[in-house]
Amino acid sequence: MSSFRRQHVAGALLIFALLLTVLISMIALSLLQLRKASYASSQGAIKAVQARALARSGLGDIWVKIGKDPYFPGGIGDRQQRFSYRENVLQDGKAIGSYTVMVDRSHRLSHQILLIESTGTVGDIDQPSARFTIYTELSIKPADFSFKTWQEGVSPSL
Amino acid sequence: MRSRPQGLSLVETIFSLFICSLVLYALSSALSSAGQIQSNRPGMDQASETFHALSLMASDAAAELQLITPTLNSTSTSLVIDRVDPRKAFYDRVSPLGDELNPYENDECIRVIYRIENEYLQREIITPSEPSRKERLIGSEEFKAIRSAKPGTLLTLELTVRGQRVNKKSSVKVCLR
Repeated sequence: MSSFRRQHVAGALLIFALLLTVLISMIALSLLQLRKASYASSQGAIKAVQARALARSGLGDIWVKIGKDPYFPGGIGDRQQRFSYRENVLQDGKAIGSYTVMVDRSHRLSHQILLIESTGTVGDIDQPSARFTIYTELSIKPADFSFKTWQEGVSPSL
Repeated sequence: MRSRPQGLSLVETIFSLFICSLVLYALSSALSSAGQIQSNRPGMDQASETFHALSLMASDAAAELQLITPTLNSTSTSLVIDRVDPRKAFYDRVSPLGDELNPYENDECIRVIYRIENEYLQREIITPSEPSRKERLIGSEEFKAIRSAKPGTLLTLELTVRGQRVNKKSSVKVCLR
């Protein structure tokens, strides 16, 4: 009888130890999730900065292109009002993202202004991890070739 | 006849201690990293706020139609910029109600002023038709806007922020185009 009771006590301790181990493991896993969320937040901040830098690169690129050729890309006779292009950006031979530049030339003759939107994309274009868009208006007057507005973090609208 | 004493054998004890030590090691490592994250959080938040303030200034400076202060080859404790009101879209600015050919008229522009007031970096927006409004950005000790002579298009913005132990100076360079 007493042997039967001791076996019962030993069994209860085993279950108690098992439950305690499960509880401790759950606490440890939840803390690991906390760390994972913090890492994800840090990575998100870095990627947002990268996307912004890519968008700025796109504007630098179009600024140089239009500066060299005011009728970029089609020449003087080109009547196309809008065009866009995308370029991949490599770092040490590895693609880190791309920038897409959209140019609206509807006001090229009336106001001598181009409406430009540059979107920086980190990661693959189909599965981006961050995107950032900058909208600008570029004056193409020969004596005043400069950006007239600069709005960061806008939604693409061109 | 003596009964066999009840208890754990040496092998069972060593094995259970091993399992316990594994669980405790995992727990202590998770706890220490969580504590580290918690202690780093205020610094990270402040760095993020500083970056946001500098980015906002750089963005406003890049949008300048006219940079009032600092003048060429000078240093100032304030940054004063005239820029297009970002709330007004291009098509609103060329509407027949105003000058259709000029999308940058004075009443379509705002003046943005950055300076330190009451130990905070403030962004003041002056609009022609509305009362001015102020935004408090971050607790700061010092702010400097430096415009070099060569090249004249380079603007350096320096911000010294109160840290937990020491003050931290951050800067951003803006190319004015």
